[in-house]
Amino acid sequence: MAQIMAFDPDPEMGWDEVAALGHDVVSFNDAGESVDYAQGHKVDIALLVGAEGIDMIKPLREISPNFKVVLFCDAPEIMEIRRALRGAPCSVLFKPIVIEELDACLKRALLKGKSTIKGSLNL
Amino acid sequence: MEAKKLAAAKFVIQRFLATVFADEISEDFYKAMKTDDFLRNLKEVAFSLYTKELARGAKVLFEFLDGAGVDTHKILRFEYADLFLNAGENPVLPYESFYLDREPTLYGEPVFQMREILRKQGLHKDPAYREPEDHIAVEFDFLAEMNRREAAGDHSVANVRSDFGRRHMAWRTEFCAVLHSADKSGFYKALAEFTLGYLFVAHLASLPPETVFPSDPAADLASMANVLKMLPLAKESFLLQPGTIDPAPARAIPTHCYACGALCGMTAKTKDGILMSTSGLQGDIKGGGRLCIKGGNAKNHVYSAYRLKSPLIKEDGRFRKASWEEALDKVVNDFKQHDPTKIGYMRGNDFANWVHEGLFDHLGCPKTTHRPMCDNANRMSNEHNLSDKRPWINYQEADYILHFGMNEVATSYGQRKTAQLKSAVDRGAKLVVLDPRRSETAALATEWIPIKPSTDAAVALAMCHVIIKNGLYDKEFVANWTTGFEAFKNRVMGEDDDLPKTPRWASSISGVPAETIERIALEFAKARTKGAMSWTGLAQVPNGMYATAALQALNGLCGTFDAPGGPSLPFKRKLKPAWGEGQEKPPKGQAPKLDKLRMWAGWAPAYLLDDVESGKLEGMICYFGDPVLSWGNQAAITEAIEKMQFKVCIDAFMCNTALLCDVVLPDSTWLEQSQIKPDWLYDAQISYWAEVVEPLYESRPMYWITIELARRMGLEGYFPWQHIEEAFENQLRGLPCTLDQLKEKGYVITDKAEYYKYRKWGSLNPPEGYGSSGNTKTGKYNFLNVVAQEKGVDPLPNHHDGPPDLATDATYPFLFGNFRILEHEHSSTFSDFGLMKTRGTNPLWINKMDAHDLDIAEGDLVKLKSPWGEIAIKAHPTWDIMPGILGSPGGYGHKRGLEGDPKFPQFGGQNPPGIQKPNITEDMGGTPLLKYIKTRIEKMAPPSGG
Repeated sequence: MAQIMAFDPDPEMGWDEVAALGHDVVSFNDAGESVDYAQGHKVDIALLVGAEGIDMIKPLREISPNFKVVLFCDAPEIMEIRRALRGAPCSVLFKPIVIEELDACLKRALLKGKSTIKGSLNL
Repeated sequence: MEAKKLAAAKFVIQRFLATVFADEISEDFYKAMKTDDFLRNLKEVAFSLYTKELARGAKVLFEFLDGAGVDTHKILRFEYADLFLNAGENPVLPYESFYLDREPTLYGEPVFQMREILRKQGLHKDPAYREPEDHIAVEFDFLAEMNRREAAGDHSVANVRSDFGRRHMAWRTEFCAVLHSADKSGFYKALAEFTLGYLFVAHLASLPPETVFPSDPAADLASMANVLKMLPLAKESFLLQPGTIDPAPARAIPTHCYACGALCGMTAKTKDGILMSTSGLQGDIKGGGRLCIKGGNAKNHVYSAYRLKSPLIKEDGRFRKASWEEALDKVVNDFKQHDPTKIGYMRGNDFANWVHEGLFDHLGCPKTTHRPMCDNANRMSNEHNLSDKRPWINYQEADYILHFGMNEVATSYGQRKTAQLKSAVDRGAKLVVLDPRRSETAALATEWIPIKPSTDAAVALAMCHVIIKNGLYDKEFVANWTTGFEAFKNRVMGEDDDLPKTPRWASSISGVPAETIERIALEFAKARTKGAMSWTGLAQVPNGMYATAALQALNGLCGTFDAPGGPSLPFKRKLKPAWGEGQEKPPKGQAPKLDKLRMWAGWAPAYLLDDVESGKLEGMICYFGDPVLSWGNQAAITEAIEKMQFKVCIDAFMCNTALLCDVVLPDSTWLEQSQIKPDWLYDAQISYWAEVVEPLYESRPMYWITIELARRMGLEGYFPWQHIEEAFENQLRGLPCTLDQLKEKGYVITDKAEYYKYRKWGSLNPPEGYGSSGNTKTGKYNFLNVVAQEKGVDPLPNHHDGPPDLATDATYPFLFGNFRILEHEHSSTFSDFGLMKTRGTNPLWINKMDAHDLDIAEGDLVKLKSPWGEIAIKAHPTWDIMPGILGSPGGYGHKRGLEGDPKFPQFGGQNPPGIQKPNITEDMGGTPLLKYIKTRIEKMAPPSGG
């Protein structure tokens, strides 16, 4: 079971399915609140949505250089994905979330150990 | 929408994507995309789709195709070579293995997963398609096949297709981003947008309709498929074939490493034909069961994402894919336009060299090898004064070890030897290292003695002075097993030139205190078991030959050759010719000696620009090596190659030299081809290199390439073997081992180590049937170099200043020298991600006091300037280098591969020796002066914002 911090600016977004996988999920609609939370709490991995989610990678990595994130896009634009990959996310997935896909992604990301993140690509 | 109809639509789109990513765009396919009908329909659909992501993809694809001109197809071929065949700096790496960890090493876990998935569906990848199973085209083709089956009524595959699509979606999304960032043509950018749009719409279509309402992704997919159907897409899978292939059994294959010249024994473990790991081979004389980091990373070398995959031909300044037939025909036709004695053949390694040298020697091509770039100055002494270029010290028994200008720990030829050196130090043997830099070996040593470059002869001669003056030399050995002692003694004592080579004299030249020289001379002479040796530190400087002779004279005086703890005399078995009974070896042609040095004549590559401008060379075939990065002044070598009318490169990677060539042929790595080779390290053995994995992609071993070239020249009769193993069998005739024994064990030890072999042989040269790299004409150790005497060169060692224009001065006060590091081998390992992770760049070492005086701190960008060039490089202030000396590891500076890839800006270095003076070497053996470049440094302004 992992401590997951989820951020989506969409207030309608629910994370019940993720919690149903057995994880503790704390969710936010405000990026600043998310980062504040991450500074004071143990977070194994962050699920971040959209361009604001990409922007959050930098402050989260300032908290910990190995901070793991999974990004989601609900209207994928290639320039946004290029920007996302510079931030070394564990994965870039589409919304709506396919829970089996996210589950596989989380298992792999959390298996890789606390100190490693996937590489960044300068695109 | 009915599932079958949706599957049919996805089938078309996936088959389209498999087609455009499987290979370069064929002319027919391109023409089909350019028809008015297709374009009109594509435009219409682009403006009618509900999902904006797919609409955007269709629109940019339409815009590109609509605006494409008459030359566009040609440009797409160039772009394909750049993006997918590693001709360009920013390859897209269309493999799931890459995206798994975003590390550019292929053939990872996804390949096994794909094989298993295919197996379960009764399929396998068409072996004729030379890409691995996790290539994006194979995955799209598999999805297309699953959708085809579903559309045909096979509902059992729905879950397989759906599960696969989802689990393998994320990496394909990343691939789109990489493709979009790398493409310069516009076409692949459009395909990236289109593919991303498709993946997203397919994702939406996989969800319950109410989740994605009001969009109708299935309808969008059907509309898109209706347009793509107009293209000539294969109806059946074109990358997969029916039938399952069982996994190949796991194997542990005894073989040898070829990452460097050490040639350590290696066990290569494979799983289903894929190399999984490499480790040391027990009992092997070179590695002694050990591998260094290079050997241990061999998997990352073979499966580097930057391998060359296909023959390439340059047109309009860019590379395009070519078939082997076309490329080889072009090489031979172009070769025939020239006088073969003006076409140089460069071989950077000697893997199965009997075959390729056989051809090019026959043709009369001047040949060069690694030798004149490395240590020919050493050899001009050692190969005439004794019997080998580098008789390794028997560390196991040594009490006192003296190293001049070599870094055994990091650049050892054999991990067994390195381990023995470390053990010797552990048990109390004294290791003294003279080097301008506190190398890894100097750090291990009992004593590091900093010494100015190219002054080693002075120190060694002064040590000889001390030993002779005190009568501490081995009089029995000197009397019976040496020549020229009296002349040497006169030189050392100053009786022939009125200049006694005293420690005080040497100190004024070398910077080594006279007391230190005297002390180590006495310690060395009085030690029970001892040896002294050197390597390229004494070769790549102006006084290389004489410094080597002076150093070796310490062994000659003390009679250490073949003594316990001394330099051991090599004796390896000679292989028989590869040509057996009834087979004719190609006779040698009349290759000219391009460059005449004072002791050696041949092709000294540092003079390339001179040789081209004087008309001696018109072209070059370069096999395994990167002249641009290793032959001297980089600008001069580049200019020389550009001026050549015929240039071909054979390499596993796109090196800087390959970029300048007209034809590039993809070589297999050393783990994809086989050879046998006699070797020696105290004991003698015959070693075997197995073809551990089949040649990847369209790469071919040099053996095959040579025979194909010969066939096109009508010389196939000289290369008669049905298989390379027939040649191996010929080579082993009369030797105490068989090919089967070699294959089973990886090596066969033919002769055990012995001390004082020369007493048995009656000569320092090994007997008939054995080989070593040199030959002493007298059979004894020559204090006086008899070959030099014959050539009218001073035969006795001495200190000589370098040419005045190379000496440091007020404007260029630093001497720069490049050095080797354990993690890399010359210029050949810089696309190995495992090695680059440990040493990804090469900062400039500068003494901390010098850095302080120049206000230079760690990581500062500095300009390193010589009178002949300049580079920008990051500084590394350290106490581990002498004041006044600068240094940096060599081999870096590739424009392609991992160093050139903008996706990985953290990797990449510079080629500082590339600013040395053009067209100059030390004057005896033609070795470039890689460790003697006068320079200055200037601190550069930090990048804006930094």
